[in-house]
Amino acid sequence: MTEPASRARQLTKTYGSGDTQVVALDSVDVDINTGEFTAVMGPSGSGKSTLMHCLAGLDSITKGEVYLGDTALAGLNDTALTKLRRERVGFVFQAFNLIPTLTARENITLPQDIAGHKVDVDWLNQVIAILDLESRLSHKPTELSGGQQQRVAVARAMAARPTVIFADEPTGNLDSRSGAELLGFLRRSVDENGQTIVMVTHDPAAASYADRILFLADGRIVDEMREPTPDKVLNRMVAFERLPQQGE
Amino acid sequence: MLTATLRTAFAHKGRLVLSTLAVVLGVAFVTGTLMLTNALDRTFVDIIEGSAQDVQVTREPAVGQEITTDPGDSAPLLLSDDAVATVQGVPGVSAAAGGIAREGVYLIDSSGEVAGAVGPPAIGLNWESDPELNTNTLTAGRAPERKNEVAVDDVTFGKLGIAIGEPISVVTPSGTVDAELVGTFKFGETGGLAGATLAAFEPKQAQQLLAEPGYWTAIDVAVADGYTDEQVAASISEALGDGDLLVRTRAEQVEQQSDELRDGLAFFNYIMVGFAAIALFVAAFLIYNTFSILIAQRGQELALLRAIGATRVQVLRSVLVEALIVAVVSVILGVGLGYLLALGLAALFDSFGLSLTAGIGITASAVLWAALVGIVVTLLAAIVPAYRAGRIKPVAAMREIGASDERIGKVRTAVGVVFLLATAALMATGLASDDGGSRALLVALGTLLLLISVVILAPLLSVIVVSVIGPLFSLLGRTTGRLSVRNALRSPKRMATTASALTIGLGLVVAVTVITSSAKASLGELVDQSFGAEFVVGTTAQQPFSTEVADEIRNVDGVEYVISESGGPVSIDGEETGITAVGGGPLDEVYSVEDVSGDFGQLESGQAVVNTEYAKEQGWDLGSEVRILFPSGDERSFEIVGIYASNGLIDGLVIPLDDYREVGGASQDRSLYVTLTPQADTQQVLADIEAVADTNPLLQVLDQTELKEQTESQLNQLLYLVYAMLALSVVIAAMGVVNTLALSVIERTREIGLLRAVGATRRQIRAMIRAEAILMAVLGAILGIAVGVGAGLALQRAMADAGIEVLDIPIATLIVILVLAIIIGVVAAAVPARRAAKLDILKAIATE
Repeated sequence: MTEPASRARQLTKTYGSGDTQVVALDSVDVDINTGEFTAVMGPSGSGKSTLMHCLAGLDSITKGEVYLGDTALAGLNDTALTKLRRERVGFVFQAFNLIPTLTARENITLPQDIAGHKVDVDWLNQVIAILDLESRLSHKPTELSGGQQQRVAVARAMAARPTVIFADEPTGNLDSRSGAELLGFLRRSVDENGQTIVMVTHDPAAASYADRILFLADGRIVDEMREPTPDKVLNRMVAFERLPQQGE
Repeated sequence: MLTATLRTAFAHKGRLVLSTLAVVLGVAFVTGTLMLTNALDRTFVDIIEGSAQDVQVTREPAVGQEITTDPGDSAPLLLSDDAVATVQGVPGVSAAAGGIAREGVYLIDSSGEVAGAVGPPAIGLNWESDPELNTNTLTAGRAPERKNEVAVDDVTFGKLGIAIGEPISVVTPSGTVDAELVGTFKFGETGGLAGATLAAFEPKQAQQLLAEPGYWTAIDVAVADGYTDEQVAASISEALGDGDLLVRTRAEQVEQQSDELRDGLAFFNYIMVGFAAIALFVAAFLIYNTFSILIAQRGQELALLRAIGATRVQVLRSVLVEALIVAVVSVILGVGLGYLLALGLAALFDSFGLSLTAGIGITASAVLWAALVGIVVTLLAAIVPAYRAGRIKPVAAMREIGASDERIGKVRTAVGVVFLLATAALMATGLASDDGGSRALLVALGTLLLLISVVILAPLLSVIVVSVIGPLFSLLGRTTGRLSVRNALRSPKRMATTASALTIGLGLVVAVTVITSSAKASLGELVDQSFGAEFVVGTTAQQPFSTEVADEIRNVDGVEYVISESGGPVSIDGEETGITAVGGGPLDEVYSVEDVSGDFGQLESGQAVVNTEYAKEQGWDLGSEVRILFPSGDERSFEIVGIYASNGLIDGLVIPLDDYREVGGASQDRSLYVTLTPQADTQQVLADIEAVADTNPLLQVLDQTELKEQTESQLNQLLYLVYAMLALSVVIAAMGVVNTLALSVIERTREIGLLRAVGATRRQIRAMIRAEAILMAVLGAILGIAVGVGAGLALQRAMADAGIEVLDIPIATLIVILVLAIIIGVVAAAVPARRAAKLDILKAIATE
């Protein structure tokens, strides 16, 4: 394997101070392998979203180191981080992914437009074809279904050929059919284009599309699973749920 | 429900700050004006009361009572020593004496300038030695007792820089007097003069300089104990037996003079309140926008209230209560700020020499007006948003409400078009009208209607204008520019309301600018084409000066004619009108007029010329006899010898100045036109004339170019004053831009967060918000310029007869206004843009 697309060493993230201090991430070491689809799971408050935000350069780090490729994120100022995000990171959020005043196509090329970069038209057309968006390009977000909107968001994330795409509950607001479709697209982009994807989810079915699942609890990585199936994931989660009770 | 309302208002107080501030400014302007005029009123009434006599006898002018200010260049209406003796003999009169007071007596200070302000009267009077009749109190030195001694009021004394016992020059209607300053006195009870200056002479010299030997301008009477003023006044009237004499008691003097004063102040008040109304009107747009946006943002919250059982009326009422809170807070702050504003203006007046001795006070009527205006404007502006809030359906609570695109109502467009057509019809009717007065009125109304039409059509016009100018914004960065234009277009109504607030202020600025510029251009052309004199001799504020000046200039080598122009109120066939009197040379030497029938040259005694329109109106022709009644009571006949087409220099009925002087008119000159002989050395003549004019520091000698410059600078002063007044509404409109942007940044928090997440830098976010602000401001300016130029054009056409014949659209000023709009946009965007750029990305994305 080549070097990891993203990695964290002794990553600690705390909010507040003194008595009210909350440790969101506690000395996390993690490598996100290039060309892999990684899912991050865990109960609410386990720190899975925080981990993603820190890896993506959206949130600051309290202690430790985070690398995107071989770039250390700690110490980058806001402008450098912004530049890094638009050139090397793709985002898909749970909801509100698109700028309502722009058409689907304009939304897809938004990061390149903002950066003033030329759009790679061949690649763009390929992405649009993969996501089956050809007929929707001139529509405004309000004229698209939820699934279509999320596909536009994925296309935007892929358009810049980022080092990593971070997806935060991308299917959270979709019905199961649209969700499955979207996950299928993500899977294909990993298989066919070698795209690295990190996806936060609490849905075992969604997680089962990944190559590898990281399980977080109380700000630590407590387990990981390769070649998951929905049943295996569900069982593992049920086991987690029981853990505290066993401890009592 | 009330608790919920108060909580909401409190929770959103940040979003209401600018609306409140806008109302505060409008209210402050209203209250400040009212408090200032109240102080002016009390100051002047103090002066009037301080100088009133128990009973005073004056001669009533035969015509001209409608003209309240004494022009000062008519011969005073006199009472003889005999009349004084008659009054002294009336039972109940404890003391009576002739008195003189006349305007046009200027004190020259140590630096050779006229003491006191330009505007307030400079009065000459006689020193009354009888303490019963003298309203003034000696404060230093002694009273004037001999010829060429003068005492001055102590306020003016402080500004003279001349000590008691030193020589002083006094400019009087009968020439300049070299006198000695012998004493100072306090005027009336308060000593306040509001900028007027007083110079007292001993009675004989006062008569000689200001009236005629043996004559007075008034008889002052002190009433003996045991008699009322009314009884004595009645007895005096009877004893004098002259219907042309006015005998007034103290109460009547105060009442009549106060009424005259209040008419003047009321005019000032109307103008100031008019500007305040414009500012408040603009503030109403801001309030309307704020509440509309707040209600759009709170849609779900309001729907929830409806879902859990609040009635439509309760929701509506809750919004209005919120507006009422804004109004009450604004009124309280506005009255406070208005008080400070009035104090500031009073200080400014003081620096001009107009001391408001009565002081500024918070008056009940100012507070009541402020409360009424502030509350009514705020509630009216909030009523439509409140009604819309009430119409939110409970089911909306379950739906996600975003900032959705809105459509421009067809009804609104239709109403707008109807208004626009009505505007066109009104303007066309106005311009077609024969009567100058109704023409100006209809066109002015049309201007107002035009503004309203544009405000109604603003959303549609905004979309059109933005589509045209939008592409320019891609210069600011392709995506940023595109996003700004799209954001602005997302809510055309909101953008239009914000921009129209600016349109109103700037539209009026442009209209006034076009008119002023046209007036300047017309005047320039008039002077070039119709003005035949080489020099004009006169004073800046049209103060009259001694006729000796004209006589001396006539003696200068190389001067051909010195033509004096004067005029005043007369009565023709029972109708009061104004006439012009010209003497000293042929008319055509100084006035170039067209379409003359008959003569337009040297007017002989008993001859008159008249302009075509007035002749037609009166049915006069060459040879017609016109009977004119003058203020002195004299009536004379004149024969029409010429009919001419009027221009801005000369208009109406013109009679010989000598005839006018014989009936008491123009005892002084106001301006002299000087023509030269062909061989004259212009520079030498100018130097000689200036030497003559130097005897009176008020006088200046101007050639044609300087005359143009001076009238232009006078028009500019007026223009700047109007600009200053309209600045308030432009400032409030700029606050509206800030307000709309700030609220829309809050509304678009998630969107901005997303832009930041996918790689927009803070600088790009700032640029985007700034571009939106510039777009709105430039839109407001473009609509304002369109309205202003349209209105200015119509007004110029309407006033073409009144001397504004040339249309001049000042392109440079329009460009300045556009640049100003861009600056307004940049400044208005500063805070919202910074706030948007500083949004925490994660929090922004998480915002619901």
